[in-house]
Amino acid sequence: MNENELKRIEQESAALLSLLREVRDEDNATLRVAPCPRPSKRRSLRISPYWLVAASVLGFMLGMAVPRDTGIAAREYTTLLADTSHTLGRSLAAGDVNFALLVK
Amino acid sequence: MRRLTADTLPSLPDAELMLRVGQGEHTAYEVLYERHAQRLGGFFLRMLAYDTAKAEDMVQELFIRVWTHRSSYHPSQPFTTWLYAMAYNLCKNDYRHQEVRQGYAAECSLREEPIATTDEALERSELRQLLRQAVQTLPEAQRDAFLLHYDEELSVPEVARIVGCPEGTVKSRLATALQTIRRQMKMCL
Repeated sequence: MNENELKRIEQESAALLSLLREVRDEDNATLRVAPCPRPSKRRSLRISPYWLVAASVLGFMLGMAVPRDTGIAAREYTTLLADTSHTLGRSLAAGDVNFALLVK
Repeated sequence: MRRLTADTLPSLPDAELMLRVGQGEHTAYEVLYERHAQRLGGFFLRMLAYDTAKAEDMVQELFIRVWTHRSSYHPSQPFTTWLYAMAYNLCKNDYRHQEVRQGYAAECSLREEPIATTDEALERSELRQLLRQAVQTLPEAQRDAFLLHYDEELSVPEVARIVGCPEGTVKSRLATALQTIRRQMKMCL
């Protein structure tokens, strides 16, 4: 759009633009504007992206620290432990365990 | 920044007042409100299909935003552009939530007009009403540019920055809008 073309249309529409300003002033005058709003002094609770990253890292570290699910029910642990101890005991008695390897 | 009394603040330009608002000076904020609220109310009124209650609420909403986003204002940017960009975005959000322009014709006919006493005054009053309708029936993009430029007296580059399109597009929208309104009002003017 050419700058001069818009200027020409505006000049031709002078009466219209004058009426438009009249309408604007009339509209503005009819409006009752409320008193100035008093914004709250309380700080808004904004979550910074840094906090999000820190929380994710902490969550990951905690996740790694907690024992993982082995798929073995708690009551089965005792049986498993007894079996292992029994096997180990027998192996020790039979002299099957190479203590040199265990120490390494 | 030197603290001024309430009497001297109204003489300061918008940008300086806004810098003071940025530092939490509430008196400067009130001066800005006094200076711009009425005019922005009129802008909201025309942008929101003459819904007076909504326009009044929007002025409050806008100035609460001015306060909460006061740190985002930079003095290199004209204050009015920053303010109108925020006002324009508020209107856009409102359009997304509901079709405010629907049923404007019915609303317009119900709108109370001051009683004209003479034939000339009556004619003028009707003309104003016709012009309001003509502006409201413009396509949204044209109407937004038209109101920002001719009613709010913002320059073409400012309008372009606010609506987010090239200056040439704004000029073209303005020219088309003017021609459309002129065609509609041809019989009356």
